[in-house]
Amino acid sequence: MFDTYIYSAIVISALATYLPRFLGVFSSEFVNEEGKIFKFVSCISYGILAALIARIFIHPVGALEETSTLVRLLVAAITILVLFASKKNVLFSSLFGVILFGILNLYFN
Amino acid sequence: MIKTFDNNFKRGCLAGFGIPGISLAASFFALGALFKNTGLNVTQSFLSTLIGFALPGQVVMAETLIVNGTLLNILIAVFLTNARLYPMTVNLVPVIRQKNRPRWHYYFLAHFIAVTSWVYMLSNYNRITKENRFNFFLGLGSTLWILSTISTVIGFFSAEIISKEIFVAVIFLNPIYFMCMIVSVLNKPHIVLTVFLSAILAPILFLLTPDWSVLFAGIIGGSISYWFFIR
Repeated sequence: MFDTYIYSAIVISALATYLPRFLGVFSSEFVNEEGKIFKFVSCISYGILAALIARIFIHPVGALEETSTLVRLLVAAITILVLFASKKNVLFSSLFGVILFGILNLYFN
Repeated sequence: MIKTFDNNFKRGCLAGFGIPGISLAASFFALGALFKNTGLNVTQSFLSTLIGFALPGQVVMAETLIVNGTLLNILIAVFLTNARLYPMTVNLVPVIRQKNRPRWHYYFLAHFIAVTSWVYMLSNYNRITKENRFNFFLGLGSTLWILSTISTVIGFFSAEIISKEIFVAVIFLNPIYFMCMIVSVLNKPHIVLTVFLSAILAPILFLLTPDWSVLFAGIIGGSISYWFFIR
């Protein structure tokens, strides 16, 4: 691949990434924290994040694609239980989940 | 005169060095390795995170480069992948808005809005007074950005050293962290229903339209929940 092509791709990607952020700041001028539009956008944002997480767990791309779906879902379920058992300690639960995934992945792959 | 680099900025930086920074650094570490395998050099990998800083879009760029896609292909693919940043930005800016702060500050800050910083801020903003949130978020976002850029470079050089098993576990940290964060903030009925519906819809819609499944699932789940609880 030519260097110029790669550098152009990087700059174009950066512009394509900044555009939704730019438009978001612009649109936010018409939104206040207590309004209904804010709540609507909040619902959509949480929805997109939940959808993204679900997709990564069930239909991942890249290196995670080669791991077992059952292991990923099992780890997710156990991690949620640990999260509640640890009074919503995100740090502890996340590290627990990764270690559990690492161990199970050794045996099921 | 508005002061920006105060104690709240430092608090934001410290928050960035915690679990948000660790999980994001792990993902960008993996991205650095992916860039090396794609054929990018270290300067290009560094530059991509420095000026791009949105992991899914960077992955799409690398995948499009592998198949020799045109620059227009890359522009459209990356824009569609990162379109989720639009509602997140619209959602975040009113939360951190500060009286008398120049508008361009927000356009500058927008570069640091990504899923990790958004989730952390939306989960914790009630603990920060309104006039201090901008500085806090600037500290948090800029720290995550710097950590990510450094991690991309480290990942690039570690691509052939780290074993595959450890590499996969490292990648898994970010989705696990996102999951824990979102589950930990499920305290309002409309958020619970949104998360539940979107999480169910996304894998189903993936079978119909893989590229749009996340966006569509989020919009449908969020709209139903809004209509049901708020409208």
